[in-house]
Amino acid sequence: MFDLNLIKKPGIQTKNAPKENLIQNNDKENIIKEHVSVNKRQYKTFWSGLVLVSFILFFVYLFFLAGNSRQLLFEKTYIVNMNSIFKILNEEYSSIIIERLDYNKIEFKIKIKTLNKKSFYNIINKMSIPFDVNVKGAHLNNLYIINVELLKKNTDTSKIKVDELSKELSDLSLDIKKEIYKDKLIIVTDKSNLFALVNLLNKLNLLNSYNINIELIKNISSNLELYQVIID
Amino acid sequence: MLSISQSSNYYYCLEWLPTESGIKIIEFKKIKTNLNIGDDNLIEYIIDNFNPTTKTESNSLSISLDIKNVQISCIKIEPKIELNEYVVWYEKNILDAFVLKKFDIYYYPISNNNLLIVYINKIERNRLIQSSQNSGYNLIDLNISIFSANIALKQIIKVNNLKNYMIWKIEKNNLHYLSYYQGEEFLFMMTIKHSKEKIEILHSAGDPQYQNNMIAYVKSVLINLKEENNLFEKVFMYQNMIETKKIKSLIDNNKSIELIDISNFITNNKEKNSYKFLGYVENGSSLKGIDV
Repeated sequence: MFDLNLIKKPGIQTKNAPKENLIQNNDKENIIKEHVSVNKRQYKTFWSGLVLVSFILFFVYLFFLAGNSRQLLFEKTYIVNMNSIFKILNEEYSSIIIERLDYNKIEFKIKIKTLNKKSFYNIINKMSIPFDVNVKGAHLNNLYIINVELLKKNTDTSKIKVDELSKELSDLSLDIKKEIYKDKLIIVTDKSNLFALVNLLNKLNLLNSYNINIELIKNISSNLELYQVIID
Repeated sequence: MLSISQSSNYYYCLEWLPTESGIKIIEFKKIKTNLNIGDDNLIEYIIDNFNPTTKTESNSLSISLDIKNVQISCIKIEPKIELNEYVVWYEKNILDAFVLKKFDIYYYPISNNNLLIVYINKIERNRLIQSSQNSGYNLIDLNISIFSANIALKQIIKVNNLKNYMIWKIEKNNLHYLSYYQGEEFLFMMTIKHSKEKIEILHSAGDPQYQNNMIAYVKSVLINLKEENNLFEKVFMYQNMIETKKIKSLIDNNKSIELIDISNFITNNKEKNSYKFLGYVENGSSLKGIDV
């Protein structure tokens, strides 16, 4: 007969599994002197094992630290598909402002503002499916803010150099201003062309290949919604 | 040691200490509460109400849950596949992510390449542990009613030489819980509902080859009222209900059926009533590994 005890660690419970020590400190009757020497040996083995495991963990820690991926050791990572993100944003195109978007090898961040309650909940609902509790919303006066910050899985895909990408974009009829500075392609565009640019990168299968930083350019004119896009 | 067993009506509390002459029962009491195992402070409430006196000697706690608080299923496994791999495959392809998130799952290999699976709600399990700790107790055993009764049978009634036996628990609303053992091995369990001329199987788990024989036996007892037993060396019966007319009749009229009478274990009172202490049968899991 198996030993049914739901206090044990869940999983496969075989008869050969080592018995867990469930004796209580206060169970004076259960303390048997003959077992003292056995217990000492067990403690020695335990401490040797603990020291060994600590060393292994320390070196694993150093290895990952050297790889600049320390956070990935401890936090859940998500697959971020930029095309899916922009599909969600495109559905609420007219009522949202992308205040900031940062997509790089390690993390994904986006801050969206809207005055429209329905758009706010639509975006939260749809983004919560892939990113669950990392999607956060706030309602301040009439303004609705959506914030997503998470660690992403590194999904490196092939890409062309930014200067070649710049040439590709020049051949297409996008109304954007662009220049290359220190191996980064810097683009200034309105919202319509921002979405067109994203669509184009997606068609070229390059949307998830670069680090992309999008920032709303403030203090120009309240009627003009311009974005700075940095691709590298 | 404090032991709490949950039935549909009461929480049966039993406090005992090991002595040189065996187990000494300190106190017993059944407690009624509307709290259930999902509530934060269930164990604190029961312990406050029971007021145990031996906490300084032993703060160990054993709980036996009503079977309705867990899910039990069984699957056939392929012996050529490593059990670990099989379970990983099963969790990935058969169990929903919801189940994995919500339940702690225990897998028990049983005879004939069957795997008994017990699911307990993670939150409820953690609340039981936490509530026990809040009361100054350390939960060392969390068992399930019918399996706990089997331990009582082994430890108190000392049923160790039978080739096979069935444990039969009578529950209210014409429900019956049956579990079948061969020697030390659990083989099959079943929940049935008895209506006038009908036995309806509500749930079963284990090796299904024993189902037909068990149903045939139960039909002979409950419907034909003439016991036909070709399978069990003994049938041990108990219940948590106060009403004893039905169980008395079944025991008096069927040769194979024997009451799980633990009255000698609970009290030294000479005016014993064998049926009075049946509610404590499921406290048996607290005696696991103890020389009673």
